[in-house]
Amino acid sequence: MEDDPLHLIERIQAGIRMEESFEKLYKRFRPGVRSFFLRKGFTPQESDDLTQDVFLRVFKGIDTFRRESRFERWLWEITTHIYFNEVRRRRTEKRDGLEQSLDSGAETEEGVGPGITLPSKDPNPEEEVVRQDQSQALQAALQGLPDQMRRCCILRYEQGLKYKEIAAIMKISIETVKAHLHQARKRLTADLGEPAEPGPKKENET
Amino acid sequence: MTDETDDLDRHLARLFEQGRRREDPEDHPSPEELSAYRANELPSEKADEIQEHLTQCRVCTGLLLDLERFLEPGEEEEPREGVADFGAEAGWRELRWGMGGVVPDKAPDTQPVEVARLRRSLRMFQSLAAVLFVALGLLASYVWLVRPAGRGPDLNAQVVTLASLKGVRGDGEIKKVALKRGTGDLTLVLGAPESNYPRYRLDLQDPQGQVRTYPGLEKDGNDFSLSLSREALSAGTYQIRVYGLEQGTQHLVGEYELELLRP
Repeated sequence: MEDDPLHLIERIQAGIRMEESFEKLYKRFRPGVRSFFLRKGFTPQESDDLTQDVFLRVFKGIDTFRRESRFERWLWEITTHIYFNEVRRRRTEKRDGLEQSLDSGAETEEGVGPGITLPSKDPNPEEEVVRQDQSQALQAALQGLPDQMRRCCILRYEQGLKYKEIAAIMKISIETVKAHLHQARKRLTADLGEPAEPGPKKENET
Repeated sequence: MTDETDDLDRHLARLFEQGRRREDPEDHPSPEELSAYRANELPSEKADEIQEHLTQCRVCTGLLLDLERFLEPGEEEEPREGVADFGAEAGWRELRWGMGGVVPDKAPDTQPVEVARLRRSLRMFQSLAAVLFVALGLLASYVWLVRPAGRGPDLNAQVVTLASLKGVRGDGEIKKVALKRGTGDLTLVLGAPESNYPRYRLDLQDPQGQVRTYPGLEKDGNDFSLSLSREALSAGTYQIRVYGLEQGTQHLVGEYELELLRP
């Protein structure tokens, strides 16, 4: 109870043992904030610096935090603002600079890294025509699906999310996600055709 | 999942791969909108708009999954007990410097934290001695002077409510412990810090962790008085918090710890 975040903040806001309480808050949540920046593609040193920025902002704004909601949510909002500010700052520097990095960061497990994504060029015109035809057919088939089913499909097949992650994004149960995807597979293969040949087997991530 | 389903999934993933857009949208919902979306605080139209955006935007999808991690952290995102985190120690020292050095409690004196703690310990010791002296004096008064005529001594009152103070926190002090005549109730008198709220509330957590709330507490001069039925008390340590109430919000004005030696 003593180390509950809201209780620590209550003390800080009341001016009781502020330093001790804030130190506990910092040490408890620092790993999660630092991991956030590491996942986004920042180096360990950059992640440390950005984490410090987050907690400085937490300290300065602690009196504005309303204890009706969870501290973790407020902390995430601050962390995300710091992240967006840093990405914008880097893009501005790169735009003003001489080089643009080709390291898109789009291969990271979650979200886009601090780099810039450039479209790839397909040199073969015939393949490009086929690709565009398939893309239009896919879009038409997707538009024929109910909204929730369509969104589950895009999150699964385009963004590569797991069932649990789709459930969190869509705010539905995992069972509902599975049901949507099961129905979607039937309808899309009916519209687009079955696969021509079985591909190599690999473990399915759920 | 069956092999056939795996094949279909790979086929569909290839189709999506060929047709996908390579860049995320330029505009994104704010972090506050995303967290409100997750907490079901948005109107349904706005929530639907954000959900549609999420299907098109890996950045925001990733951020929302990060919010899930903040709210339900895994083992790697929790500090490990018993393991020294030198990075956190160094970070804390740097952060303290960034916050302007030592952060003092909001107390009248501005001396360093360590000296303030010693002074509070001394005050606490003095308060403890004063409380015991007053309690013994009241007990003696009750037994020899106040005891109703025609009735035997209240044996319970002789053994009840010897209280000791441990770890007083906050700006207030427990001034005295008094026994009400005849009922054997315990009256708790708390010295409140200077504050001026319309109403106050006291939360009392017993040694078993159960919290009782006493709303409508009023200041009598600079003290709060509260009668506690002896039947509801047991030996042990009680956590006491006093809140100032104002316009639907509560503000902690004092936190105390009281130990009852015998019920």
